[in-house]
Amino acid sequence: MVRMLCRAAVAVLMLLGQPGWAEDVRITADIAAKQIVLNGQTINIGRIQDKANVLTGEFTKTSRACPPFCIHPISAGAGVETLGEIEVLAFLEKNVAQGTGLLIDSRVPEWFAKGTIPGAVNVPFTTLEPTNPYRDEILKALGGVKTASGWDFSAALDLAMFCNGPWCDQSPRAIRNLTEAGYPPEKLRYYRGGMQLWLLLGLSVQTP
Amino acid sequence: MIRIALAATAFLGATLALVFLLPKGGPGLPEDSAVTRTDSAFSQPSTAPAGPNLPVPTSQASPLPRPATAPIAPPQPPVLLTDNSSLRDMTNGVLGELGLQPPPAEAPQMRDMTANALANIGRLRPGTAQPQPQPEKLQALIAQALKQGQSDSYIDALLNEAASRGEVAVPKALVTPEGRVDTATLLANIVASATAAAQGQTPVDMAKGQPVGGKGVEIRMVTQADGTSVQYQFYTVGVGDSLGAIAVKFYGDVAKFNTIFEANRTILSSPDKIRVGQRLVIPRA
Repeated sequence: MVRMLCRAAVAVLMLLGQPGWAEDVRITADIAAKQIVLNGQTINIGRIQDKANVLTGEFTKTSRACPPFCIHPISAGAGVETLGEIEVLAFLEKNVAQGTGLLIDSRVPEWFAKGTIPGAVNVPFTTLEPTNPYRDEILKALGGVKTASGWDFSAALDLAMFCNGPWCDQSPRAIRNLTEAGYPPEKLRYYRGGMQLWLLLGLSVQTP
Repeated sequence: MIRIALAATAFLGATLALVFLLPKGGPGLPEDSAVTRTDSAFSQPSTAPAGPNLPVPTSQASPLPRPATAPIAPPQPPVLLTDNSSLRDMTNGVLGELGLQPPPAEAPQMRDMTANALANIGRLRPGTAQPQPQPEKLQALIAQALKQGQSDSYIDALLNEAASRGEVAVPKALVTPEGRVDTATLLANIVASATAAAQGQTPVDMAKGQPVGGKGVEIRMVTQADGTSVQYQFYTVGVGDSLGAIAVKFYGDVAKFNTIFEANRTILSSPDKIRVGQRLVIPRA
């Protein structure tokens, strides 16, 4: 009996004594959570702390019809870097926070509204299709300059694009359309895991 | 009840607008030095160089007195919020809201989606893209008023009120020299498109045929260098005209305002900057 009480007391003390008990589920061993200031707004990215939490609903499906929901290769195009979650955080902290890049959610607005990566902006893949008569406006807003001989993207933003995950064609398609319009591949990144892996890892989601 | 609430809101808005604007002497009309009145009485088209693109009289520096109509214009017209939205898209939007037409084709949707994407980009990047007033607001306002069976004059007051407060943006082609929204043309266009939609046709001309005469219309024969003569039409802007209304008058299609605007670029800086007494050349359809 005394032994049991002692054991319980030790366990409680151990739990209380740990400095980051509240962040038991950390992003990495060194990083519990990230706080990033984007254009005056502070975003917080951490992970769900409930160890019993499981996904439910849309992102638990295993067998979406392919086509259209086919499995994508690791690369979205020659010269386009593929990112994981840690690189997405670094991109937010470095490129987006300093105003030289944008994290772009390529999905249609209905999906974006259900929840996205904090700090992402919605530029639906459809708006980057060459058939969109207003596409030039977007290319301009991304920093492209229309010249007599075509587009000059030398001062354009670095873009990290994602959609619903490795089975989603929307961000690879947006990347294809951008490179075909002349956007330099080295200014583009592809977060292949997308919402699927972001949610699976219990990372913070922002509902716009 | 809704009507009373709306009327009350409109009245309150008008009162507030008066209170805020009057002490400052009212909003000044943004003057555009590039725009000059042309004096129809003193410019003969026959003196203009013959050629398909050059029929615009160039008596801009005329030292002669202004036409008598000019000083009648109100001294301080309100400044309306305008945008480059297309009237056709807007009309389709209103019809869509009223359930008279299937959701508009891809282009208007893309426009809205693009506008939203630009606003999203702009939110993180101030200065790159400012969120624009949403065209749906104007559509919703008109659709709601039409559903309520409001009179044309009520809708006219409502739109002018909202546009002068910057709550909705109206197409530039629908701004009159007095700085008001040309609600009549806007509503006529919606009615014409609704009729066409109900009959399963593409929108038809609202006023078929060209006006043979009528106030402000002039037709001149200009003899070209090779001896052939070409007919030119001119129109002198009157009180209450908008470029859209003039396009309807001559082409039966409000969307043709751009044809007139392009032909008169030397005297018009923007489709919403027409002035009473300006003499516009009207290209042959």
